[in-house]
Amino acid sequence: MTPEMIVSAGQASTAAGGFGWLSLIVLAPFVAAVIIGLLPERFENAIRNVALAGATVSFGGSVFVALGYDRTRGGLQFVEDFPIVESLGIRWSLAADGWSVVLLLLTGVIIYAGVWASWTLESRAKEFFVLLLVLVAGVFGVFVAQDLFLFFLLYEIAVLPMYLLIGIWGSSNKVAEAGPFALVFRVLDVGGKEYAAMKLTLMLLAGSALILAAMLGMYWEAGNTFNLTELAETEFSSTLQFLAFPALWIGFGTLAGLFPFHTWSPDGHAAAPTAVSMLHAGVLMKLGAFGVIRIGMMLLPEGAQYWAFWVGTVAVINVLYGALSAMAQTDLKYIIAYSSVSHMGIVLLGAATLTTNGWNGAIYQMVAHGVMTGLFFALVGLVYGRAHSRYIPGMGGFVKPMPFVAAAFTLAALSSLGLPGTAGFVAEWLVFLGAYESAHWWWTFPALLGAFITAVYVLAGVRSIFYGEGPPDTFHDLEDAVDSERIALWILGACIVILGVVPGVLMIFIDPTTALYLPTALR
Amino acid sequence: MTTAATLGLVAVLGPLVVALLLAVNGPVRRTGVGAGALSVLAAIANLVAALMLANSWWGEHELVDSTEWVWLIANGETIATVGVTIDGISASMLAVVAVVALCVQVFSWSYLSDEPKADFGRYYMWQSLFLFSMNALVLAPNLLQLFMAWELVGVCSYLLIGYWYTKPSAAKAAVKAFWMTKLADMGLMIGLIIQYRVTGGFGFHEADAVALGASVGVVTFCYFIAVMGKSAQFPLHIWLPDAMEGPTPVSALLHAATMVAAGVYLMVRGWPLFDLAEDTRLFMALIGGTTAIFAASVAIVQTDIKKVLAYSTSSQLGYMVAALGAGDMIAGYYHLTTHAFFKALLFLAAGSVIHAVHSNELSNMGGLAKKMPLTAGTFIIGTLALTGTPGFAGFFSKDLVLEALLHGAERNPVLWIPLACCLIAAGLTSYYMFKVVFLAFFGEPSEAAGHAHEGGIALSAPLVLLAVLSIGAGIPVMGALTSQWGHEAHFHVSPIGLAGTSAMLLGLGAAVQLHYRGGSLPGVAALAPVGNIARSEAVDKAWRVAYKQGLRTLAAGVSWFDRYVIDGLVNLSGVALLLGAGRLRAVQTGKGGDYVYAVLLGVIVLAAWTAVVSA
Repeated sequence: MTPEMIVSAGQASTAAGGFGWLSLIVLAPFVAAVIIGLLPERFENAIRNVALAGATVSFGGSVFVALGYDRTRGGLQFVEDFPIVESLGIRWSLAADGWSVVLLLLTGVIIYAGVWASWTLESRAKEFFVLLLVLVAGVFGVFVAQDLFLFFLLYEIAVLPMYLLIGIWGSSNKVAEAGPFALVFRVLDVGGKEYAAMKLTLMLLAGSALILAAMLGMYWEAGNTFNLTELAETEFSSTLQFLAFPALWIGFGTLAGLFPFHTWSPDGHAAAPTAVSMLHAGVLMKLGAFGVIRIGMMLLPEGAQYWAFWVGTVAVINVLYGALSAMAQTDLKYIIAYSSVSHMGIVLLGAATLTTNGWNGAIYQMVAHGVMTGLFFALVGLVYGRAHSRYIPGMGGFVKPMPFVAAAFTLAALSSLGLPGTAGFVAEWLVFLGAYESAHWWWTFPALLGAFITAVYVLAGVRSIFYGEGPPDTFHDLEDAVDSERIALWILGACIVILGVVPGVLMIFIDPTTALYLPTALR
Repeated sequence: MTTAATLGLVAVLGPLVVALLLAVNGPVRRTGVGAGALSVLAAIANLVAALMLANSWWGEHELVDSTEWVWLIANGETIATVGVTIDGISASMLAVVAVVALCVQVFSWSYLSDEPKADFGRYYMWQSLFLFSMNALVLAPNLLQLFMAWELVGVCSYLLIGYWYTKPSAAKAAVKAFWMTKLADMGLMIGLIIQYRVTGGFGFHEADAVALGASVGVVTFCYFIAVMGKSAQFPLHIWLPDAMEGPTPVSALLHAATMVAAGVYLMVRGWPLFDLAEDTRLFMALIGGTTAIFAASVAIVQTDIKKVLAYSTSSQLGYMVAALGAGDMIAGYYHLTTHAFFKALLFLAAGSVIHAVHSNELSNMGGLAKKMPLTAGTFIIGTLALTGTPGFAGFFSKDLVLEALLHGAERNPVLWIPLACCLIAAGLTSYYMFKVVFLAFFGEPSEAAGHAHEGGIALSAPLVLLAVLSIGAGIPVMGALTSQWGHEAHFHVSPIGLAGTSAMLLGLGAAVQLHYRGGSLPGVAALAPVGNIARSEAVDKAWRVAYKQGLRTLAAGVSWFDRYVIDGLVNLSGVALLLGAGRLRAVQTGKGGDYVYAVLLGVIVLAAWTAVVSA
């Protein structure tokens, strides 16, 4: 299918009579952030409720868009288009395709659950929610932006608040390093939350610089347009494709935890507070992978095909390397962070296969991993908040004081290792099928091995934390999840099971869009 | 929807609804008894549905009733379905599972009655989840659904082995079982991926086998790797003995009768594929024979009654695999069904003993026949069936297995090896089983055994039912099963059958001499080295080394590399920038003079540059 057909399918105006549903979704968290900013600090309940309201509006809007999306027509719908800076061709241009629909839903679920998970936050709740909501507004925006500049702008809005969120509300876990690295570790204060925040921000910004360069190159060669559809129609020169694709791959890939630019992830996720980890691993990392596919592969097909071997091979390294690294960790958050590196490898592998199953699987994995890792980080936050420790070998027998947490953790673990009946299986299975159909069939095998190693480390983790005789005496205030926290766990847990049992609920959106987009990447 | 499909859905969804209800509704689950009642009700409904199906499929070998729904799509086209397929194989297997499952659930009611209510409810939630998974496996319309259910029964096994989660050994065993089977399951995944690539689907019918063409060998080989894990074949069997950490009824249902047999069932289901794969079948026969004799030898030296039975299960699964490898699907499948009954019986009877003496060790038993006549009687019936005593169910199925191997060996002499293994294993089986009988039920009672007494009706009723089946599942079941495929297998006295019976009698004789009469046998001392090898757990140790020294070391290495090399470079660039900036800061002195000199220097450089460029 040609780009023209995508346009024609999308030309029809908004399904819901001109009302800006997508703008509502994107701006609701932003408006909520402004309102919270105007509220005095002491109105804690009001602050939380406004945050919840903002999240609810966006989540509800996402559900509405999913229901209103006309699947028989497909393509881009709910189109909104206003000029922002006319002279440069920058426009507030939003539209949703089938991929956007599912990613909006994911973001809605995660932020909704994330607000619940932060309900009991005590220190500086006001600023926290402001930043969290601004961030999530950016995330929503990226998934529906049809203007490359807007895409980039919202991408940065999503990434930058992270610095403050980790730097202020994060937790430090000082590593006393001896030996040849002592100096480096001391100078940088490795393990501190400021270190983690700075490292994350700098590495992601370095990635952004690459994206910006590639973006400007495309802008000039396409004749001063940022419109994604027009850019997709442009036949870029081979030189640009050859150079810009790796820039986008590495630039966006850094956010997706691409090896070897992933090291911000373990430190960043370990230092970040619960809701931030949930959002970051749950949806922000997906922005990176989404960028690689939606911008890199679809706008620069020649470059994508040229580099596909490397994209897939590095993705396979990601899967195995992340899994093996996770296995060696003793810090609960590091395990989950490395597992994210491993699982995001599955997304990138699916993308690199350039097959229908691979792409379906990649998008599905974004959702599956988002929900699963969101649940994981919510639980890790819960355990850490009560145990005041993340050192796994010191734990044991936690199932007795916290059975609900144990059950939810086991579910997340099972999804993580790709158990059929959970979301993780559908995604991984499709990617494996795609990988074997691709030009490089051998990708399947290391990826499969990665899935097995995942089973090894997550179940070892579950055993050390929850099984065994009653918790050691050093833990005093272990208690099960409270009601507000349970809401988050129930929502995410239910998503894992539903998406694992009836993949059709998302596949009816994903598959037609893949069918529409894949040919543009195979031009 | 057809009646058959409706019944199939009752079998699959009934237990699922109960499991979900108990998962979501904590208060009901924590009543314990309420949860158990719901679970048992689902199991009864399941049994009724299964028996109705089995009844209508009696002898109907060509009738297939398949109802499927779209599960996964690609480019708008269906690539995978889920549903229920009812034919001769699945209907009969469904009935076997349903009978054993109900027996086990009823037995558990009494066996676990001292457990806290919440744990009791949790147990039945998982029992229901298992029954759902197992039925979904049995009725799978394609190998993908079979695989998904296969993994789910694996998880149920993990959860049920680790039921006593405070016991570190149980937690360890649960994880080990999952890891080993998951490792093997990669074979099944690879096989399915290749099959999808070649045929575009996951079917197990003749058309699919033909579509596979030359790939049928590699695909079936991959499938068989997973079978080795699930059905505890050498050298992937090591998880099964450890799995005995779970409650004994669980061992009876999952780790003897049904879940471990899923591997054999996969091959029966995918028989059109395996039938065409000569090389894979040869490999199967060799592995099956090896497992039969190896596990039987290890069973001899066990002192824990459940471990004896666990190794015995592994050994008997070896018989089934060997029979299939020899090309006789009916023999393998028939042995599966009879084994399900008598091994479940043996485990439940052992559970009854353990319940009475509070120990698994044979040394804590003895003389129980007087105290627990029903348990002793049913255990002995199970033993007679397992050892292949003429007239009992196991006799007919074992005879069929041996004949299958003999027929195979006439075509391919290599099959003499598994045949010899199975014959010797028959003698060993008879020896270790009668040894257990004599040690547990006869002789001097131990202190613990002195206070033993028979359990209630919930404990004894399942024993009686399974005992009846262990006797009665002989010729009638054989006739029914074989007629499913449109050809009759008649029992007849044959030399190979006599050889098997002789091996059984030899084993019995040895057991009587050594453990009933307390005498000695010439040559037993010479076997000591073999016993040491059997006790050495060499295979277990090899796997432990592969895990600890292999995988863990590799992981530690990768982690080190990540921390100090990859991240080291990141940190190094950070430090370099910081230190470099510190140096550069020295330039900003804040003294007026320095800046004047700097400006002067700039002017000179610019002037020189202009001069060079203009020149």
